[in-house]
Amino acid sequence: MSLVYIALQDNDNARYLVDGITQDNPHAVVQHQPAMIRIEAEGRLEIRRDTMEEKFGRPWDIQEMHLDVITIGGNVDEDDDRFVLEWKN
Amino acid sequence: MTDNKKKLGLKDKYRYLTRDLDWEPSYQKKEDIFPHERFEGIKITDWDKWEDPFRLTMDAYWKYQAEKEKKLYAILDAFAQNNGQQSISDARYVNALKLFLTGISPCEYQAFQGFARVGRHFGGAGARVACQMQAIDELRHVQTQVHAMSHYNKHFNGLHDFTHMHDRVWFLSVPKSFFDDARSAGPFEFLTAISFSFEYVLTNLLFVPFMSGAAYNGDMATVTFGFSAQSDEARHMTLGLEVIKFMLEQHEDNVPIIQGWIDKWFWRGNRLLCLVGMMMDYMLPNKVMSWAEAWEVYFEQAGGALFKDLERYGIRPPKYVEQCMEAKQHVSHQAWATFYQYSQATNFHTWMPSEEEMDWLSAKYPNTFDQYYRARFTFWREQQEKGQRFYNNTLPQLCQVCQIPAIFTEPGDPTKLSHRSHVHEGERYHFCSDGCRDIFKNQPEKYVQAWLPVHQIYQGNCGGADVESVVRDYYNIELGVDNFEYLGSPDHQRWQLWKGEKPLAPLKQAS
Amino acid sequence: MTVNAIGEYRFAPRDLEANFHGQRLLYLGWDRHLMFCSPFAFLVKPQMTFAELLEQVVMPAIAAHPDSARADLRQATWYLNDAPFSPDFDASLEANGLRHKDMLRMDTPGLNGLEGSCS
Repeated sequence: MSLVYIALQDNDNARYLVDGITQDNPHAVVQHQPAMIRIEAEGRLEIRRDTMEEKFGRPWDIQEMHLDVITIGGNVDEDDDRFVLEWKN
Repeated sequence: MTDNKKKLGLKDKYRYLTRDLDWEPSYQKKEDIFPHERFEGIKITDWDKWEDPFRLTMDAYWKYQAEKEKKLYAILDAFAQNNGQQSISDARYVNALKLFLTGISPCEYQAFQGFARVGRHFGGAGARVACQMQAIDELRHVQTQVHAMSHYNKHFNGLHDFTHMHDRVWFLSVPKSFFDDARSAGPFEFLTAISFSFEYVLTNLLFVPFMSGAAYNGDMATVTFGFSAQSDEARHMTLGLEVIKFMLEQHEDNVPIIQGWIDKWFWRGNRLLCLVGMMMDYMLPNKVMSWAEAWEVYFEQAGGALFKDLERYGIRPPKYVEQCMEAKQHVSHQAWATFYQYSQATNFHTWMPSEEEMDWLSAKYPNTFDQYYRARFTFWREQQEKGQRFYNNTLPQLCQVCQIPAIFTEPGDPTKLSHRSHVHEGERYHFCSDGCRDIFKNQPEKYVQAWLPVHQIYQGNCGGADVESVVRDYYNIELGVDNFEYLGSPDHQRWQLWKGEKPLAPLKQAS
Repeated sequence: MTVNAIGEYRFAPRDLEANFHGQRLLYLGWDRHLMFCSPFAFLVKPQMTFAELLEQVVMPAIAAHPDSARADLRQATWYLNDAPFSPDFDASLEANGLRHKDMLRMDTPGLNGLEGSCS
């Protein structure tokens, strides 16, 4: 199975994002590197708006992620409620 | 979804603000409006199949980009106000920034020009909007990089004339010719070259581990512009992957054309990135990971997943990719050795790694460093200590395609330089590899016109007849200030004063 | 193959011999001495003898290498564009058959670079 990944800037938002991502994706592996956090997972990673709203304690737009993302790997599918990274092989 | 009721959903908004802004022409033919859409042989049957998976629309784009800029400039201001240049790990580090500003930032501008052009030439509104956003992104990247480095320019040498140098200095013809090649191609090849092969497959290697390294070396300004740029890059990468899938799905005749472009642009990008390899292994005083490790994570692992995904379209991994497994253990050392011996003609300084740094290299490159490079570097360090710092006083043979001196070793034999030649219409041409020679043979008319810096100097087209006047007058590199060895350079002396040390006397610069 | 283009695509090669004012490009590599990062690119007069090339051009180029003092270039094994080549030291480069942009390689048996590392 191929790995998908997302790297986030290691800032205050990242704490909530990482929290939410690991909750929804128990198979994800979190790596801390200077100034960044890399999260990789086999096959698929999903970021859910409802989980993030709970973590942030406020309404959260999926596209806010653009501010903190450094890079991603995998096919992207995004709508109002979730952001998915996936390799379908 | 209760709080979103009055708002349009992402998918609807994307449709209204891209495709629905388009119209069917009534008094001009589509072929006349988009005259460059067919000459490359790519067949598009339905532009409506194009979809940006981020579904980013112009209104959201401006909103988020403005926020990114505000964050970035607040940090750049704080860095300048707090004399951030004194908090970096070591002044040697700044030499990586000099290479970045002259070698990479002008390519961001080239990318802006490229996307602005190709965006004009696509019949599909989705593709045009995506290219428009990316063109603006690339322009932002040049501007933020120039702003961030303008602070370093106040305190360090070699950063004073980057656009002039990009157009003229010998080693900068490597990145310049890469983008010239892409920009002079048709719109679909440009997207395959830059959006896919460069952005998707390779730029992570530049912007992720190197920028993390900048943070690790105390350079808050660079890591911030780097990651701010890379946050756009995540979008560009996604676009790159969608472009490839879109073209492959449109018509089966597109597959062999695209495979040829992937082969070409992977190889060209791979060659270009040896500069980044050396920045990571030799120019970061505090090291995050080796070039070989970065290559494994960001190319072998990520690229492996990607090409497995593209298999279903009939696309195979790029030609000669297997050579990279071996080359990742060599290229950074070969590139650094090259810049070390030609430091008389660069706008940045070079140096030999310390014993500790050599031990790190030996641990990271257990099969190559001690065996092939340590004796060379130790000899150079000893020569330097004797006051005979080594400079190569000849000019190098350049590859006709990548324009890098023919410094790479033969696959399977690291004791032998890799060299290929080919005679075309009575003229002999030289190459660093099978990969570069194949590129030439496929489009000889394109590369016979290459402006090779060494040959231009010999033809008398670069000002003076000797290297010193070319470097001083044609390149605008200040002799004894911007170039030569780091130890004892004005940059080094200034750094020692800041740190309360006694400045080292300049080395005698052998010539 | 050729270049797909929107119009005629033909350009003169930029490095024709005529552009070098009576001189020629000659490349030279020294086997197993990778301290010199790539083959050298020399600008030479075709009338120069091969012996003069060795004394005036090649020896100064490799002087910084410790092996250069022990290298007897007249005894070296030579290759011209990868084919075995026996230079006539007293004849001109032209008479030796060296053309614009040709590539010479020299192998000095027994000399294997710094500490035998082929550097």
